[in-house]
Amino acid sequence: MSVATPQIYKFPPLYTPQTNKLIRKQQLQTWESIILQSCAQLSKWCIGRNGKVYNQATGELLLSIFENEEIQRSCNIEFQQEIWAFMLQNGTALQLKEFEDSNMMAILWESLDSWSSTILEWCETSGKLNQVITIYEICQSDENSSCKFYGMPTSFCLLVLQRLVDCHRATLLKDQGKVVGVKIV
Amino acid sequence: MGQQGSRIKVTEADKAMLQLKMTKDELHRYSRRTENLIGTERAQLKTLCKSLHGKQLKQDNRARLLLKRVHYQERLLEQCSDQIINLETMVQSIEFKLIERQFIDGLQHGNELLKKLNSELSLERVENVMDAAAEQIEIQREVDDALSNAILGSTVNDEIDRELESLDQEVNGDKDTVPRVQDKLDQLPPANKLTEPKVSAPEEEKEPQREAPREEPLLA
Repeated sequence: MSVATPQIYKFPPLYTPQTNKLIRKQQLQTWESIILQSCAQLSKWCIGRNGKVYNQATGELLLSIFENEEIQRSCNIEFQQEIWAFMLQNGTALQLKEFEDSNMMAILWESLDSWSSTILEWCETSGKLNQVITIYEICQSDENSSCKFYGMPTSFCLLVLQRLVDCHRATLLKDQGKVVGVKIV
Repeated sequence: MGQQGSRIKVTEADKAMLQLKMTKDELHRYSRRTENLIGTERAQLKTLCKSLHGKQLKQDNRARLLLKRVHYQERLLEQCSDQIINLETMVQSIEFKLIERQFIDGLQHGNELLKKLNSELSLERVENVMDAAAEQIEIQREVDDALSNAILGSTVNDEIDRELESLDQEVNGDKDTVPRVQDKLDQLPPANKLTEPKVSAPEEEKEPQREAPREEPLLA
């Protein structure tokens, strides 16, 4: 486990769904904040429904949030589903269309609006306004390696850019039916 | 997207630029993949090194093959990065040209505006305006003079004059007669030359002078 987790992560009852409604709700909130924090620390935007995050290049397992080896506890699948449902309802997690069959969840540890303003700010400071930028350039280009959104998955980036399109600040450029670039003004 | 598409224009140049950048991205992706591959192959070679020593390693086909592959891929990577640099310079020079075009456009607009403004400002008109302005300044000056004179003349000057006069009278009023008496005395002939009847004459002359203003109201 390479991320710092709150003390409660080591608390065994957290892994068993509590029967009391009030406590159950608090438990779900705790899980939500743990997931958000962990993803933010790892700079990961997507997490598997089973709570596992892999390094895309090497395939190494970075995090398995629902399993805690230290105290030999893990959430069962029903409870995992419940946590996801809770987060989807709160808008802190999102089921991306492209990910529907691959069991991946997008985690909004920052809101889409916040991301879109970050990207807009980046465009303004780096003088990329009114220029064609490819999605790959935003998320993967070497010059952005210090940016907060470096490594963002393409599908997530599209979601963010859609916000800019909605407020008439950007237009998406397609190539062979796929959105590949964007022009931000 | 349709609605926004009309708001933000996507020109042919933008599309060409997109193609260029996509090619660059592709090269970037390729170079990363190759880098990863080289990394893993070097790691493999090292593990092989640990298990085999000296001659064994040199004769091992796998090790030779791996090293060859690594070298080949490094060469490819070099070519790839050269191409990326080429594309980047291309992109940058295009971007600079676009800015240059904007600069020329701006200059042209500015020039047109200047021409328009110059045609509006004919010499005759300027002269008219300048004359009118000079006239108005002259009027203003006159008004200023009139105003300052009126104030000083009517109140301040008169008051000052009056005050000075009264001051003069207060200070010099009494002395005024004294030098006169002295003068008259000086004018008198020396006492030894005086004759009897002539002594009273100047005294008589002096007396009516002093008493005249006093007598006037009496006479009236």
